[in-house]
Amino acid sequence: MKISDKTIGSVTVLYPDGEADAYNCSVIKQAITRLADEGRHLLLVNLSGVPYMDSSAIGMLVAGKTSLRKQGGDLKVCCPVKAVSKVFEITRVGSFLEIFPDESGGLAAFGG
Amino acid sequence: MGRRVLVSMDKPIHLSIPASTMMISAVRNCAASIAAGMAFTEDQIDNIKLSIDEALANVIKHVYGGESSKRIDVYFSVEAKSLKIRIRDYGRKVDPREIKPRRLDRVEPHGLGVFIMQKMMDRVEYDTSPEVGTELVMVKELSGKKRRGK
Repeated sequence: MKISDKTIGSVTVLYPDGEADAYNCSVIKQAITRLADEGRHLLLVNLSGVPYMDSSAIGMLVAGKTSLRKQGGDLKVCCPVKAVSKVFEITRVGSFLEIFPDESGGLAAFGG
Repeated sequence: MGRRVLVSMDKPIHLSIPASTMMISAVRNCAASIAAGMAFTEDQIDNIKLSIDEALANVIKHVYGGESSKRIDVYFSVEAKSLKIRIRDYGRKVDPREIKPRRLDRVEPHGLGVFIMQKMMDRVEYDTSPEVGTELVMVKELSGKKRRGK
């Protein structure tokens, strides 16, 4: 899985690209940790490039949000495809992760 | 829903894989291909893919402790009205009574696999009768109707 990022105001948007599962989800965790170490604690994860996600990858997002909150930051999610939205819904992590249908909505939620 | 090209088969389709998370993608995509050939809906195929993914991840992590030199056998039985998936491991036995879905009112980064399997498949059962290891059996009905498991 590839991940790129872009900073918009005070928020960094992460763009993972590819299926996210137990094998490669650590890439997400590493990206979150790297950005946090760089002082970028407001992250919006744009999932438009992720056609599939399992619970291991979802766990990385949950752990990432928990960690960033402890550091005074936050993580939100936007643009999940239908299959991924379904998993968020079934596992009821959506309300915790704060999921937005589009990037502009996610960015606005940070107050920026 | 596509046209069914896979009908009942006498023998299962068998994959024997190393217990590595690197293999999960290949197996779930194989499951998706078989399910598509059986004319499951797109939604059902997504459910099957995710369930087998979660099941394999659980075996790799909890049964084998991430030891990729171990083996997992996966059997796909194409039946008239259902797809049966058996996942056979040869590791430490787990008491099926201890395999419970996590409560969802607590948000935690782990422990969702069992819940997902039970939610997305019509039957999920654990067979610990083999001398070594365990066999997980998951069934997805073409009709989409759940049956009570043991």
